[in-house]
Amino acid sequence: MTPLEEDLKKALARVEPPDGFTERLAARMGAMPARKRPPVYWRWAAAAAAAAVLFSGVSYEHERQARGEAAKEKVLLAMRITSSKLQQAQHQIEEVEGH
Amino acid sequence: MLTAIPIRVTTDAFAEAVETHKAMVYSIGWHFLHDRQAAEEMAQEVFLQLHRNWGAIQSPEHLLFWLRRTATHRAIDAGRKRKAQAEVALEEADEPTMLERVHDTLLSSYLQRMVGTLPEKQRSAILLRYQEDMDVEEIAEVLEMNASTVKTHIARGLEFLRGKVSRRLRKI
Amino acid sequence: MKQPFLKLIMVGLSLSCLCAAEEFKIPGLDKMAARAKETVEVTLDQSMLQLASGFLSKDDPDEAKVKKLVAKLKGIYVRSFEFSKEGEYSASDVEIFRTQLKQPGWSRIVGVKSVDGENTEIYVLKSGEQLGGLVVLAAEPKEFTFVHIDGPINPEDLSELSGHMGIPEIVKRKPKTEKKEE
Repeated sequence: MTPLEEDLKKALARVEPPDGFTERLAARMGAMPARKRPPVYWRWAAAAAAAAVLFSGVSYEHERQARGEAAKEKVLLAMRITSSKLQQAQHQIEEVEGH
Repeated sequence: MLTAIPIRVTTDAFAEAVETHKAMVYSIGWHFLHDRQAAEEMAQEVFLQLHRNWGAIQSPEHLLFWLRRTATHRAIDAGRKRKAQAEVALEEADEPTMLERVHDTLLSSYLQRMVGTLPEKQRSAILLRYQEDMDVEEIAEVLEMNASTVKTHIARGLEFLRGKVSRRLRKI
Repeated sequence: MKQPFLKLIMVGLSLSCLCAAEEFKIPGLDKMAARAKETVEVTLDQSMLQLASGFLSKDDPDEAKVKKLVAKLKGIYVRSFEFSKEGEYSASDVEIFRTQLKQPGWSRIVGVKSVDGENTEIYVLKSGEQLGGLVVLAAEPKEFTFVHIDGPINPEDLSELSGHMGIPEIVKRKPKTEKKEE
């Protein structure tokens, strides 16, 4: 790294937001729902951490793979739900029409 | 019957995400916009958007990627809205005053201002490279451009900054 | 209503209004979620849909159809709440969703109430020759579902999905009389 790049890293170091940032954010959001059970993805994260591949180039691709597969499953779920509700509407129409 | 997937926004998980990443998100806004109020507003909007989209987050790594990408794009949007003000700042930054030369001995402060005058794509690439320590491929994914374009932006940004720094040293 | 709902969707398409679709902002969702026994929440923006599309198989017929369907979409948003008993959500909770659908370009093309308390509404966003978006509100005594598909979509695409993925096939019925006008 050149001296300029080193200087840039120092110049662009992260800074904390002004005091009260979290409180102001919470005020904008209002009350959050009470916790009932831990989010599913933290369990996935625990499993990934146990594998200890977080800092390798291979892990980046695995993470992308996992994200893609999960997104695919969500798309399929959404399509199933939508089709189900459209079908429900059609059945209701048929009931009303006396078919 | 619907299959229930218990992906929910919980106070603990979301609050932890805010505490862990607020400095990163705010810093992208601050270094991009050089306006504390605008940076905070941008950062708050990012976390509000995260709250709405929490169900799409798959892992801590995905969360980090999502926040970096969203913060960068929102900073770019905010920067465009402030373009008129940025043009004034460009003039001021280009010709440091005597007071700045005398009192502004911290190169960091000068570099921060100079980064703030870069074109938005160069600015984004430089921020993600040197604030977030991301490699070119990671930056390409966040900025949705190819890696060679990212390299070009970083190279041009560094060339501009190198020129500014050397001119500043000649003036002192 | 005397025509199959697919025909109603086509009627909706014939009205011309070019309007941009945006993600709905639904206040009070968290309150509904807090009362629910189970929640299904799907939020997929354009980048996530593109990512998912790359993982949908061309070789699997169902996934290939979905892949084609989502190719131009901007987002898919599902919120489904299942409650432990009746009365856990109110008409005013549902009205919040309807208020969002009063934005320009949105039209309700199906509104059906059945005697056992199942109410289903379908809204479309008109965008030239295609739908620019689709919303389904399905309210049952112990379940409420909101689906928003944002982007160009053909109703036939959704109908084609039935019969697979464990969903019984939608039977397309021809009207008993020739071309009834709405």
